[in-house]
Amino acid sequence: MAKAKQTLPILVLLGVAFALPHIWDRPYYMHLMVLLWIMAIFAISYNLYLGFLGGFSMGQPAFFGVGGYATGLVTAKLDWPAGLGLLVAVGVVGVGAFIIGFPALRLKGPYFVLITIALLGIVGNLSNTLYKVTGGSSGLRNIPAPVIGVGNKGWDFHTTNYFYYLALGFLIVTYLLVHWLIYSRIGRGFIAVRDNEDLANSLGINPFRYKMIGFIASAVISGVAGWLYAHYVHILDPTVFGFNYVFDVMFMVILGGTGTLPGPVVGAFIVVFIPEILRMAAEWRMFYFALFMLAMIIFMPMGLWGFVKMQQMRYQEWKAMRLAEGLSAGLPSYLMYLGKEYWGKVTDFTSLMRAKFRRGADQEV
Amino acid sequence: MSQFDLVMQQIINGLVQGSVYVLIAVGFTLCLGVLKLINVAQGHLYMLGAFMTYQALEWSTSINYPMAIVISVIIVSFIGLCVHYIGIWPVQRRGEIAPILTTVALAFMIENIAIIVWPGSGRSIETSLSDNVRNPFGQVHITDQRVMTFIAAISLMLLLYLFLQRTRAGKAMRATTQNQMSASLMGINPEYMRALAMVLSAFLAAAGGAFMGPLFTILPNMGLLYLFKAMIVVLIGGMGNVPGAVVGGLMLGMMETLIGGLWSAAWVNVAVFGLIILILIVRPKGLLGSKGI
Repeated sequence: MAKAKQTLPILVLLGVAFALPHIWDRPYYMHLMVLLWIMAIFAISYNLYLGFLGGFSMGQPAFFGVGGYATGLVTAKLDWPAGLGLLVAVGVVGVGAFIIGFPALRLKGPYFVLITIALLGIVGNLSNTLYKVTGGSSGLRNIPAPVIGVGNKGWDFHTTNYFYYLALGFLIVTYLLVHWLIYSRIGRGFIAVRDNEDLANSLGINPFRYKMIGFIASAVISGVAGWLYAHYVHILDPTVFGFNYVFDVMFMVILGGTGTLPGPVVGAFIVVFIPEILRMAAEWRMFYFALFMLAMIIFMPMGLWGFVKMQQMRYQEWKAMRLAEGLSAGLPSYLMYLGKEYWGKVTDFTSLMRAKFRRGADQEV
Repeated sequence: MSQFDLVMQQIINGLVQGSVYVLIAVGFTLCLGVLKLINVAQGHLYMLGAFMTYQALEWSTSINYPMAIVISVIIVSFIGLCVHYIGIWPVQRRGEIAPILTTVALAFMIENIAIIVWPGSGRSIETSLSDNVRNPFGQVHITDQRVMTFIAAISLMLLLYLFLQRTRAGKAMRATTQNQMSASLMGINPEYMRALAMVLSAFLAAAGGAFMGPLFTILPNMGLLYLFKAMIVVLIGGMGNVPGAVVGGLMLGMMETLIGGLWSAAWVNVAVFGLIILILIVRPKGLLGSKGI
């Protein structure tokens, strides 16, 4: 019964996600949804390293962009199929992360942040400087859409609605893989290293090895997101290595909920759709968006998903207590309880203030 | 122009450019040392420093360039204080990531306001100092503005050095950098030191912007670029280390102008980042290490 209660919302959400291109016939929003799924994959990869290994990297778009450029070069210039491009992207990014990991993962705190920024800077500048290969600032053009099958009979993902399913499929597979990884022995190791590196080391968990596994896994998933992005927009330019992507993906993970599995996907919805809602603010859009994010970081420390989980947990506790007392435990009475609690806080505050000012008045007299 | 003159010209330009990088990076490194955080809004405070100088000169003809610098520096220092109390102070006990994100949000807000207030394709500050050209030797050209920028940056650095070494507040700030807990046991309020470090770093960034404004076109979206420069300088010199930031800033300025002037502008950034990777592998804590400010 409890199992059915948990799986039903997931099935409903999946059903809505699969039916969306048929019920929401707005090409612009479909385009946004495809980008959202791609960015959600990217955010999951970022969360894998930030949330489960505690390493704060600001160079994650380097892997995203390198994956995109790798597949773009072999498919657009050498006419390889996109499937091989995926293998090339994963291979290049994996090997790159392995090489970078040796110096980078031994650094901690701000040093690690700054070396990842240096990595992003060098990759971005190379993509600009080697314009004979990458097309420089005018971009790498004509990256083909992926095709499954041979010749004219293949299934071609060149339209937005077809690509929607490809991106969604990749997101689901990535999510399940990360879920499996986190609940496996390796994932336990990640969390042990995150929570106390020295203790983990003394228990026989080699922190460097686990960090390396997490770093490479995170980089490879970013590379896959880059592959999807390159084949979706068909053109890549050095702006994929810009700071904007770093900030976007950071906000997705932090606003959604760091160190939770659904958090990055929730965060992707916030970061993609809040600016759309704010379109009516015209030129002040960025300002209000930044204000919103500032408020969310200050008032929801655990992100939206963490906030929801916390409320749910409080509700369960309250319910158990009420049932133990033999009282009814429905939602209306819970809301009344919450209201009373907040009202109590307000009256506490006002009485505190009143006492404070009365005391001040006494002292004056 | 002979080869020697060309090299000398690039070195002089590099020193001037580097001295402005020093101003931004020293503020950045003060934040890193005292508040233990990466202040993403630093580049935007620099941008505001340049634009406030421009605006002060626009307001009235009776305001001359030095007065404009003073006005700009005061306003931007106050904005720095606001950044601290709106963005950093509420989340300062929440690890290293939340303050970075709040400063990112504040940087976006500052940039958005600047784009609305100063739209278009950039502004330039006109001062009489830019017209006086000196020829110290050969065919080397220096404008008075560049001479003034270099001298002002060096004297600000000397003042900062005296402040940190000789005054009570400076010593308290160094103590806070070394160990916040024992500093607060000695009767130093770390809260004041954090706010003071933010104000000082905003002050230095604004001064950099005000001096650099007349040399280049100023744009509302140049903040991130200069933030990037500050990060590079700190990586070269060592984190939370003021002398390191001075060395790193001058090195970066000279490298940029020498490689850009003598070889190719396209390879400047690649060379700079290559140097950084090398430094991080050989001396991960920067050239001068990271022991105190």
